[in-house]
Amino acid sequence: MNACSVRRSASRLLLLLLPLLLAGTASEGAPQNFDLGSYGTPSVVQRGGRPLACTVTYLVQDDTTNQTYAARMQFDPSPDAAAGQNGRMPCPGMMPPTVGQAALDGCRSHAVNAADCVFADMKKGFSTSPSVDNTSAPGSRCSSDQASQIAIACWRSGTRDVCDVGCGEEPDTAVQAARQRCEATHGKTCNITGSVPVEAP
Amino acid sequence: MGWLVRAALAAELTLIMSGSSTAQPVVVTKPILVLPTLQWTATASTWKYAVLPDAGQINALLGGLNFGMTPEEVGQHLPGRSSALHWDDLPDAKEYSKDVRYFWLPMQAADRLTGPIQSCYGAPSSVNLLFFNQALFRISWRFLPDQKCPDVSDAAEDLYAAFVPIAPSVVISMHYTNGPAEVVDVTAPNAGPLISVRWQGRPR
Repeated sequence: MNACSVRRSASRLLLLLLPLLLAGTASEGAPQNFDLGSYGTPSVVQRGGRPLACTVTYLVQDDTTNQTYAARMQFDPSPDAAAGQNGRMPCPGMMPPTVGQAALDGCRSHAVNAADCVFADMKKGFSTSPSVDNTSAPGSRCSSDQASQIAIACWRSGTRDVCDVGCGEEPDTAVQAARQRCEATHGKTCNITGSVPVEAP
Repeated sequence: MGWLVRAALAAELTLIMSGSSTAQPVVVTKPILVLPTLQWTATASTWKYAVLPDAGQINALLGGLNFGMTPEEVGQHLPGRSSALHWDDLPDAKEYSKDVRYFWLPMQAADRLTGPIQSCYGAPSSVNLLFFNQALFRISWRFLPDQKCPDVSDAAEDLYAAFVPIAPSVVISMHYTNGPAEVVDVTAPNAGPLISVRWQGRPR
């Protein structure tokens, strides 16, 4: 193994480990400062003279009633906020776990049992082992700087909707993304679908 | 979940009419309920509700009633009451371990409390007003089917969807089933342990 291939292997290893390292940082629960320079310098986007905030929307689900909730999280722009190249206010690159927990709490305030509330992006084993541990918080959210719509696609396993989430510019493209993710993950036809705008009207 | 049953039947019909087992099932629309938007600080350490509750909207949804009203005050807001409501005359709500009493009226006679409901509901459906310590703490809509309206899930969803965007610090809304009944409970946030109690009685 020469130096070049060693470097290549090291680079590959770093690429593989990078998501884990980032996830480790995010799961520590320490509040992240979204005004940090690491998120770039955005330019101001205004609607009616008001700078637009970033909105991150989660889909969460009550696993007993199959009710799906959209939990919108809005982040104020910093005073020198500026839009990105697509003209949208950049959203935080990393999301503290507290934000996802607040989305789950939104569902729990309507649920008979708090444990029934899960993220709507469900892993392969969810149908046999339904718990929040078998769902993904990052997979259940869309950011307004990346997408206008968030969608869900599900298949029915007994009385339970087993779902995944997708993002897109239009309802159709978001639903298509959710369906592809659901069908690839679960190997089922995910023809129960819905979508809402990422941002509040 | 009436929409799902209807969609499943439609899918079945599609398969039968096509005479093929390879026909694609129809796409079913799944409603998504919108929670109140949370406004986070830049450090994502704390949040508040992005929009303050609209008192007028909530008042309209509750038909002009307010949590904390006495039975007498509630009676004055109800249509067609010839006699006053009194705590001592109200029956016990047996699903509660505490002294909770209730008054009910047919949903069809509760115009001011059914504003958001666009879909059908059966004649046995009712609106129940629950009191603790002589104060209104919960309104419970109990949707029941009949021959004209065999599926009341859409009606319950209409109502529930109107309450979900309201912060639970103002009203706590829940939607569940009890046998053939679809129940939407809207409860005062200061009702403590009474909040978690569900209607378990037999549908009337």
